Formats: sequence, structure tokens, C-alpha cells
Amino acid sequence: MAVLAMRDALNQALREEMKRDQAVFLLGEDIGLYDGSFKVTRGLMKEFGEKRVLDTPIAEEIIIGTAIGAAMSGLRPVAEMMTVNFIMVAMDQVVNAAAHIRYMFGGGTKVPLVIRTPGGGGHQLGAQHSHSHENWFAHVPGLKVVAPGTPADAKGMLKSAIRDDNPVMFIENEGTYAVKGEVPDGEHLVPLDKNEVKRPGEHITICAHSRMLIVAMDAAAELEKEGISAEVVDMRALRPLDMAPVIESVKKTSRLITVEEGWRSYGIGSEIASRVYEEAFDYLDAPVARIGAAEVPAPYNKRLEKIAFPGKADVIITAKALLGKN
Amino acid sequence: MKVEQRPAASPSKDTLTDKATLLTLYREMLLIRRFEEKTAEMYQAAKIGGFCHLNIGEEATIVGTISALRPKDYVYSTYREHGHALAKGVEPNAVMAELFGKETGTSHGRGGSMHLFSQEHRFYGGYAIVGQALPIACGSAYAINYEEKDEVVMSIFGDGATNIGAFHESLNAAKLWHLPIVFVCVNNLYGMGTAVNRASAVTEIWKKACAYDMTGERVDGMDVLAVRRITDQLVAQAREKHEPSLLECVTYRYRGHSMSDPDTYRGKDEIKEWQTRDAILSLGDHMKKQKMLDDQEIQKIDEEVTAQVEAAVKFAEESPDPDPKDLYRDVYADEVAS
Amino acid sequence: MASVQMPRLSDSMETGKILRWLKKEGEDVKKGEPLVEIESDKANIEVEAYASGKLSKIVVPEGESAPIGAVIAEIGDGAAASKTAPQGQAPAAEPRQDSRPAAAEAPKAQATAPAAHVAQANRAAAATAQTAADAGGEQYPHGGPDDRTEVGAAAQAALNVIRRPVEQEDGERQRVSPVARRLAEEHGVDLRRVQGTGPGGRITKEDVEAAAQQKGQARPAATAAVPSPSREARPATARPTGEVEVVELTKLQTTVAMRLAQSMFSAPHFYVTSEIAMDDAVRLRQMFNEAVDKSETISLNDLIVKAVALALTKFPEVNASWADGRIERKRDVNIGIAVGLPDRLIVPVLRNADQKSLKEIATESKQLIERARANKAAAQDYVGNTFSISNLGMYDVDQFTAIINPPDSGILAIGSIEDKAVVKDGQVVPGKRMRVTLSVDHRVFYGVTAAQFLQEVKRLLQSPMALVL
Repeated sequence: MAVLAMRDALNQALREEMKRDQAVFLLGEDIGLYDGSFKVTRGLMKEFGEKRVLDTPIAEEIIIGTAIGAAMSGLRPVAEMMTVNFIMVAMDQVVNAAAHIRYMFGGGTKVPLVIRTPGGGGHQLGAQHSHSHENWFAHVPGLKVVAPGTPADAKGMLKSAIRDDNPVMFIENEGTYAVKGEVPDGEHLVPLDKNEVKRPGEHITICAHSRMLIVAMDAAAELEKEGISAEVVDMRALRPLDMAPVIESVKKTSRLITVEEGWRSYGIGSEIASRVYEEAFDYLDAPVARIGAAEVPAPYNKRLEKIAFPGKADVIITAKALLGKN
Repeated sequence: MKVEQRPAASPSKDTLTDKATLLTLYREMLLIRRFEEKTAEMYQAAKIGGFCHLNIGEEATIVGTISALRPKDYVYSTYREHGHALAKGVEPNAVMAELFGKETGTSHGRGGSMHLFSQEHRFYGGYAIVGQALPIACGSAYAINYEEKDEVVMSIFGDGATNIGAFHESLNAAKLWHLPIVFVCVNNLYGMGTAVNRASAVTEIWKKACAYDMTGERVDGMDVLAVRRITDQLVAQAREKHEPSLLECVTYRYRGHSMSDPDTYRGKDEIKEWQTRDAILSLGDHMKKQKMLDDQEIQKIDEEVTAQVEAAVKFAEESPDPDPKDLYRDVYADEVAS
Repeated sequence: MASVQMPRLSDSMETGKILRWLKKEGEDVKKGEPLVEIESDKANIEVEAYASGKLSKIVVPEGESAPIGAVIAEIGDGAAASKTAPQGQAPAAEPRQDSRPAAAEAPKAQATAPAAHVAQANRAAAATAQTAADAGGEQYPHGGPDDRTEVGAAAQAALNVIRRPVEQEDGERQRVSPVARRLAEEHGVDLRRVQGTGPGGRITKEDVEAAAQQKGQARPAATAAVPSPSREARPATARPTGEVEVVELTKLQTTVAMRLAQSMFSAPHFYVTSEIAMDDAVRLRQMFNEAVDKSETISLNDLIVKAVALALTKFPEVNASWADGRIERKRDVNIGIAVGLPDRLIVPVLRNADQKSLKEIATESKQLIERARANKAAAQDYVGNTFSISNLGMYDVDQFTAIINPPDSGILAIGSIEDKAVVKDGQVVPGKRMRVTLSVDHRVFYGVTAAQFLQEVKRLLQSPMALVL
């Protein structure tokens, strides 16, 4: 077991998979010479060379499009969108091409592609640099979407994603690259379709993913001090959406909060809530509470931004309110 | 009846005086013509639905370029692709069945006119978003370099695509990364209803290549031999030197943009004028002059090709529809590569 | 005069160390010129001057550290005085507008053969990689610790839903949460009698659970000696009206009725009564319960179950069934414990009672009875009995006869323990006496067996240490 920062866990995953399979290569802006905007790809160009670690021009459509074509032709590219905010420039390639090609060509080909991209806000980077779009991708059949929240899951899921034959949106988070955690030694693979309870509890269920998982865990620790036992379910697998641990939990607690860094309406929480209503309606003591970013373009001002994005205070206060302890 | 095997591409002029080669070119063009005419008929008979874009008039461009490729070379096309697929060797039966939406189609009825595909023939689609395929074509070219193969990619698109961002990104990347790719612009002078001079600041498309320090060429797209000659050259350049290029083929589509197009933005005279330069007639005349063909033989080829097309329609008619139970098949691939 | 302050070179930086002053005291400095090299927590950064003038004083010398914002030098004589940078906000390497960091000149792309391109790239790498790599680091500044304590806009929408003042709808309509409704049905709680404490008077799970608890407390456990709730006498009417109240039976009640009728009318019952001295048993139980945890106490019923079970091992002919003209003697001793509730009668089965210790019997019977009460019993709780016990001791009953529970051949009916005057060694002394009545299926065994079996049970209960083993 080693303690690694998220970025280093991801780096390890890339390195191991590139060593294991010659067909795996990376492409993206500043991933090579610059070692990556967030240092996730540090040292890889040095080790594997320019062909396998391709620095691209600032041309999002070419990044994703080239990756798609290479994947169709037998390679296993891992494309980086420097931040998820830039992916909108290439949404056509992601949705209309990557997600649809296998199906619309009648299964005649496949697109084994990973698109790594960090989202999230809270760094005073302004409206155009603070998005979270995993819900957009999770909406699209043909894509797989994962959003790990721990270094161990990040490493294990990135390895699995690279080995998966489908286009996988691998959602990272700018605010968690420095977060440290234990990562098992050896060949560590985590499935792309299993969510799990990261903290067992009795009184209330909290679903969260990516950076919000950390927020939820922090909130749960504080709630514990007041005698409220919160069960935190890590929603790292978003499409396919593994609801089993959530349903099991809700049947136990009867109360659910969802937390996400994206905007609240039409967000991940909406889908989770809908499925809970479908599968555990008779176990609910109150409607599902959804916490998401305030529905404004992210403001620059530090304080405004802090209240616009979910923090542990939000989770704590909402949990108490849901339990009737205002 | 099988289409004869294409001889290996070579820059030599001599193949283009060889009767066998010319016959092949002639036959392929005529097949496309008759196939597309039949497609129009079938569309109006409501056997084909959705959008339907025809290659009628563009046969020389299509056959002249694609015939220069080897079986393992890739073709990326657009939604106006029936002729491209046929030229690359995809069976007429499979193409027509796909247009009819049948399980026996190239894409098992899931794609339709705009999303043909054939792994076997390296016909890599069939894209409905203008310009979308160019970056993807670059990806296959990148893979060729990566694996150190000697294959080539041909990316075919229309004049309208040359004004979209993806076009520019792709030419830049191709040159930057030394991709073995030939960009073929089928300049039929109209992007849907908009003439080239109303959409493009630079109307001689081949010139756009210079922004990327790339080889740019322009050819009479109604002259199959001229197209073939220059394509041979550019394909060799890509294959041997990893120098990409942009080839503009000036041609014309006799019908509207699609079967739904009333085609009021062109004059009838213009269309007639282009029809006098019909590529199939030209080649036929040329071969007659060279005593390679006579009217009887032309008639015979026409009958054979027409029979092929009829057979394709029959095949499509008799093929089964996809089973609704299979609706979700192939949304995803099998998990976990070895 | 302009102060040069320790700049913030990374978001996590708190202090910096002066590595090298690039200008000497007294030297002229131009705005934009490199002035000093500083070591932050991440890298060594060359910092430029933000003012022009003479470097009049170096405040923090090489090798020393200072916190961000501290004055490290003074520039100028007022001639080219520029505003001092505001405290703690001296920007260092600002990210470019599109937030991609300023890397050094990228190597010019050349349309040469790939090898040359790579060589060029390698050379560029040597020159730029280090600075670029170091300057990158935590490129996007962290938003700071999650230290907000008041609720933010992010949760406001969710809170608004939870706290929404719900108008009381007039009329009969109650707000009941889905889980509350389900539990109410399971526990037989009448929602009309429940006070809702949730938003807008919504009845919650907690409300129903509390109501069920109260109900449960009124219902005696099969072993707890709690008198049944008092009943109100019906107000007297002037004259009887001939009115009839029809009570529909539940499915369970119907089944029980049919089975009991069948048992009574197919098995020829005869009855044997015995009075047992329970002084030692009571005392033993008391001592035992004083020594253990509240959750581990044993009841008198547990002692009886054990005694009966042991007796059955000695009388296999009693632990038997009538089966179509034959008698089936059962190997296992599974004791059915009748649990009577006002509206139903159920008999959960304690399996292999002869092999279980008193403690095990106590635990398991508690669970069985609890499950039966809460209507959460599993189907297998009710099958497999080979002998049954029915205890009405907590209802001040002297004795009674019970109907055999099929497929058993006997059932022991337990009466109350009474303090009476008894004769011991020729003296009249107080004693605790309990009357038990055995009902027997006469087809399976006869009077002598029945009497002897009962004697054994009595013997064990009167020397209860044997039960503890």
C-alpha cells in the first residue's frame, strides 16, 4: 500500500498501461514537454517518446477526432481535454462521433477511447473555467462515464477505462489532484460500473462523487460528532449508473441527499432521485434533497464563489434539516 | 457479377492507356450512375427514408480518386457517399440493403444513407456533420504512422467543409504530424444551396492548402483520367514521403443537394451545360476513339450494370428488417480488451 | 519610495526564502528587470521589479526567509515612485488570460523529416522543461479550505424544499411519508390516531414507530406478566336493540379457527393436571437474572420449555404424531410456544430445544416472540413443532385446558404461580404453586404415559438445577 496524490495515482495508471500495451498512447495540449497542465502526465514523454505522448495544437476537435480515428484503426488512445470547459468545442466529436459510431455503423467497428478531463470550480477562475459536465455525458448512450473521488479509485478506474473497448469519459477534478490517499500495490483494477459505500451509517444517506465525495465525507465526520450517522455512497460510476448500494442504503435510512459540483437542475442528483422514487418509494420519509452548484455562471469574487459551490456546511445543514433537526 | 480487381496504383501514365484499366473505370462509373438513379426512384417509392444525397454527375471524381487506392487504404467520406462506398468495393447489395434499412445492410439498418461502413473494405463511414470526419481521418493516419504501416488515408468532403474549423485543424495537424493522408475536396460548386463564392473567401479551394504549407492541386473533376493521374501522384507522395495534400476536383451534381431539394438556386441551363461534359460519356467517347469499345459493348456493360443494380434492389426488398429485440445491440462493445 | 514585498508565488506559499539578490544595494533598477530570486514552497522563481529607482535598501538578505507581504527591500528615492503593491497581493507569475501558463518559446514547427523534428523538440525540452514544469505545479490555485460554516447558495434550493411551510389542507387528507404508510400497515397502526411531526404535519417513520411502540407496550409478551389493558364497559342502553356488529376475520384468524376445529374434532383429547412447586425455580431464575445483563435474562417460560424438552427426550412416545393410522415418533424436539395476541394466535417454534442451553433458549424465544409480535416472522418459524406449550400464567388463571396444536400429540397449558398454604414436613408453610394441564391425543399415548411424563416435567421444575446444565 502506498500513499499517493491523485495526480500521481493517475500518472502511475498511465505509465503502467502504456508499458503493458503498445497500442496505448496519449494526446492533448501540453501533456508532453510541459508535463501536463496539472502534472498528471509528468515524465511520460520522456519515458515513452513523442509518438506515444503527442502534444497537440490548441484544437479540441482534432484532439478528439484524431483519437477516434486512431481508436477505430486499432490503437487505444487516451485523449486529454485540458479542462472540461474546453470540451464543448469538441462536443460534436464526443457525442455525434465517439458515442454513436459503433451503433450507427451496425457494430462494424469500436472506439476504445478514454477522454480524461478535469472539471469543477472554486478556484476563482470565472464562469468559463468552472464547469462540470458529467451529467451531459451520462445522458448519452454509447458513452461510459466515471468520476473517481479517491487516488485508489482513480488509478484503478483509469486502468480499467483504458482496457475497456468503449469511449469512456474519465472525469477528474482540478481541486483533487493534490489529495492524497492509500493506493494498493500491484495490479490494481477497479470496475467501471460499481458504486460503493465509502462510509457506513444509519440515519441518512449521502450520494456524492469526485470532489464532492470529499466534501460529503468531511460533512459526515462532523455530523457524527452530533450523533448523526451518515452513510456516504460514492457515485464514481455514472454511466452505467450503479444504484444498488443507494437503494440498499435508502431502504435502511429513508432519507437521501445528493451532492454534485455541477448545477442543480437537470443534474446527476435528478437522475439518482428519479431512480430512488422508482425503486424505493415506499421507503422514503421525505423527498430526496439535491445539492448542486447555485444556478449562476460561476462568479469570480472569492466569497460569492464560495457560497455558489457546495461545501460541507451545506451538506451538514441539509442533513439536519432533513432529519427534522433544524 | 463481381467488379474486377483493381490493378496496383502506380504513378506511371501507361496504366491509363491500358484497356483493362479504362474498362474498369468506365464500368465503375456507370455502376454508380445507375445505382444512384435507381436510388432516386426507390426514394420516391418510399423504400428509402430520411435524407438521401446522390452522386450523379460526380462519378469521375469518385472513381478517379478512389481507384488509386489499395484495398487496405482508408476512405473517410461524407453523407453523399453511396458512390464512394461502391468505388471502394462495398457490394451494391449491402449498400442498397442499408438504404432500405435492412439487417443485411452495411450497418445492419442502423445507419442508413448517411452512415455506411465497411471494415473489410476500410470504408470508414459515412458522417452527417460537415467536416467531422477530417479529424477522425487524421486519427487513422496517425495510427498508420504509429504502427509504421505503408497505408494511406483518403478524406473526402465537399466545398462547404473547407470553411469549418475542423477542416483547418485537420490540415494543420496533418502537415504538423506528417500524416499519410490525401484530402479530396469534391467541389461541386454548391454547399447545399449556397454557391462557393457566397461561402468561401477563397473560391479556388486548392489554394487553402498553402496556409499549411501543404501541396494543393486542382483538377477537372469530370475527367476521370486526369483525376486518376493526379491522385496517383498524391497518394504516392503520402505513402512514400508522408506528405499530405489537398486535391480539389471541380465537378457537378446534376440533382439537388438531396432528394428533398427543389434545386431552385441553379439555372437549368447550368445543369445542362455540365451534362454535356458528362464523365461517362466522355470516357466512352475516348475509348471508342481508341477503338477500345463500341456501342454494342457499351450497351452490354450498361445492361450488366443495370442488372447488378436490379439484383441489389431485389436483395434489399427480400432482406429482413432488424428485429426490435436487437434495438440495444452494439451500443457498447464487449468489455475489457485482452 | 517603493517597498518590495515578498510575493505570493503559489497559492499554498506562506513564506519565501531569498536565494539571490540580482541587484546590489545602491544599484539602479528598472521596472520589469529581474530583481531577486526567491525560493517558494514549490520552486525557485525569478521575480521582477515593479518599480524603477535605486535599490536603496535590502531588508531581507540572501539566505533568509520572510512571510508573504513582508518588506524585503526598498527601491527609489521618490523620483520614480510607484504605488506600493497592496499587502499580500503582489502577483508573481500570473497565468495568461486563457489560463494556460506562459511556457518558453516552443520550438518552431518545421516540415522536416520526423527525426529532425524530434531532435529539435529534445533541445527545446532541455531549455524549457524545467522552468515550465516547476512553474506549473498547482497551476490552478486551490480555492482554500472548506471553512464556510453558514449555508451557501448551493444548498439553498434543497433547503427551501425541506423547509417549505406546508399549508394544512383542509379535510381529511393526511400527509404521510411512503415509509410511514408502509410501516403503519405492517404494525397495524391506525394513521388517524397518529400525530404527524414532519413538515406540514406529515406523519413520518418516527411517528409511526413511536405509535407502534406504545401499542406494543400495551400488548403483553408471551412471558411478561403484564395484565391486559383495561377495557371500558360499554355504556348501558335503555333496551337491547338486536343490533349485531359483524367482525370480519383476517386470513390468519380463519386459518387458526379451521385448524383448531380440526384438531379438536379429530383427536380424542384427554387431560391430566398437576400442581408443581415452583419455589426453587423462581429462586433460581431470580439469582440467574441478577447475575446477567438486562438483555440476557431468562423467563419462567424458558425454564418450562427446557424442562418439557428434556422430559420429551425421555418420553419419545409423547414426542410423536398420529399419521393416518400410524404413529410417527420425531427425533427432533421442537417446542411450539403459543403467543396469544388480542386479534391472533400464533405458535412460533423453538427448534431442538433439548440441545440448547437455558441461555440459548431464552435468547431465541425472545427473538421468536418479538418477530411474531411485529409480524416479521419467517415462514419457517411456524413449522416443525413436535410439542407445544401455552402459557396464560400472566392472566391470573388457575388452570385451563388447551387444544392440541397439530401435528403434535400433546400440549401443556400453564397456569399462574400462586402463593398458597402448603404442607411440608407436617407444617403449613407458604409455597409457590403452579398448575399445569397436559392435553393428550388419546390415539397416540395413554393415561399412564401422560402421568409419568408430567411427573418428569414436575420433577425437573422442582429441581431446576438440572435445567441449567
